[in-house]
Amino acid sequence: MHGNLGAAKRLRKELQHLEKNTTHQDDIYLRPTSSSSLLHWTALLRGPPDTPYAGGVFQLSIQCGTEYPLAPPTIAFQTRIFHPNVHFTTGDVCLDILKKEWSPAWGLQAACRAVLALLSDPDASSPLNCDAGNMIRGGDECGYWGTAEMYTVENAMFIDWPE
Amino acid sequence: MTHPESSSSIAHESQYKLTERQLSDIEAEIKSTQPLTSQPLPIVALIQQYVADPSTPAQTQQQDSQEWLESGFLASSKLLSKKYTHLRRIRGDGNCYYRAFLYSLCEGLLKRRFHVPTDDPTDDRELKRIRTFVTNSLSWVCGLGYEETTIEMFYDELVDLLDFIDNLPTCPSSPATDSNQATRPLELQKALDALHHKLNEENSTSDYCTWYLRVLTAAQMKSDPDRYLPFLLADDSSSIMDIPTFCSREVEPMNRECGMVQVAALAECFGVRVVIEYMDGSVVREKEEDGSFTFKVACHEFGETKGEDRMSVSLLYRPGHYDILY
Repeated sequence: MHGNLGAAKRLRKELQHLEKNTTHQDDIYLRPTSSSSLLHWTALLRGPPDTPYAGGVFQLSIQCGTEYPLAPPTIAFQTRIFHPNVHFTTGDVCLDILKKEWSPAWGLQAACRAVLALLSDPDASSPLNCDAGNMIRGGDECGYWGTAEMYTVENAMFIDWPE
Repeated sequence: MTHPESSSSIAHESQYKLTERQLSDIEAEIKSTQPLTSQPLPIVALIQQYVADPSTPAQTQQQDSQEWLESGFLASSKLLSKKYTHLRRIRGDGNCYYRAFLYSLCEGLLKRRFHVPTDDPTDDRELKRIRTFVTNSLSWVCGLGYEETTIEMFYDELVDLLDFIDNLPTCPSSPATDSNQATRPLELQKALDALHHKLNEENSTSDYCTWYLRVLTAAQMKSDPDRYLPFLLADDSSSIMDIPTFCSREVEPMNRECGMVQVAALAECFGVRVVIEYMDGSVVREKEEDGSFTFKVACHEFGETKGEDRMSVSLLYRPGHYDILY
């Protein structure tokens, strides 16, 4: 394996796997952003039911370096979201498997699945959005839920799920 | 958002960015200053590291304990210099045990192919045995829950590396029967150089194979929990009590340092001997049969310690790091 070939080879494999296995019912839609590079991907996530994100469709930008899959991809929300582990302005995600617990055994789809799981199960102990973190830690579930839902309605109701 | 703690939350967020940047700066520094694997150094280089530098002025109260500690390391390095002749440094990026194991094993297999007499079949037996194990390992690890699509290219890389070792020429291309003996060392050096070059390319063979060794280590632990679970229970500093969680946090991520259990599992799954000299600033005093005392560095063996024809890997451990010994 030489230099950049590893990333391209692996991402091509992941794309083939996705094209074979995607259905309309999926809660994750994942494709390269343009046909010119396999290193930059766009993902759509359906907000999980029973969360303040339900009904919303959230867009993520995924950037892989040439060291992918040895190094993790960089994932950021492009749709504004109110969540303790997502930076309110930059969309950066704080998730251990995207940092020190990343392993090449994960792929982009598994990484998106972990982000989706984070929406259902926020971790208020290491917040990137301290306002959201403080609401949950302070027991103000109502405040958190209401604010997060408001942002979902304002920002995440504009993307149609691709056919 | 207006919230009483907004200003402190900004501080917290930038602190997080700062820590991340610091960590990646340290990683970049290590990468730019240390090769993946160095050239072999005479063992005296190890001693020199612990000889006090006379140009450094004496200072600070801590010096006493510092000196005591250094003298323990100095004593150990002198003892090791009687047992070994060379040292090969491995990059200190957390993958050093796996990387040292990979390099030393490949180098050993290659050297065996050059052994005289060349028609001794035992010279190739270990290469064949290890190739068979590695070739069959993909279905083994996939059977333990790893996905073929994500694992395959790492597996291919290790298979290719063993093929590469098997295919390096042991004789000059135009064989003149008499001169073969004389040119053999030269051919061996060429082959070792080719291997060294291959295993020092960034983001390439060494990293890919190193990660596959992590997968094999994890698979070995998962395939025999009765053997490996006691290691986790014995380690007070670890709160992880089940093997799958341990593997996903401590074995599978790159750059994660390894402890005793990973060392044992990797040695055992390859069926090779791993000899580790533990240099931690203390020496062991042993009583000889004649009543006298000798001093030695603590040394432990892992894996296959009986079979004499099995490959053997000798490593130097210093707190948090492994290098190769010769």
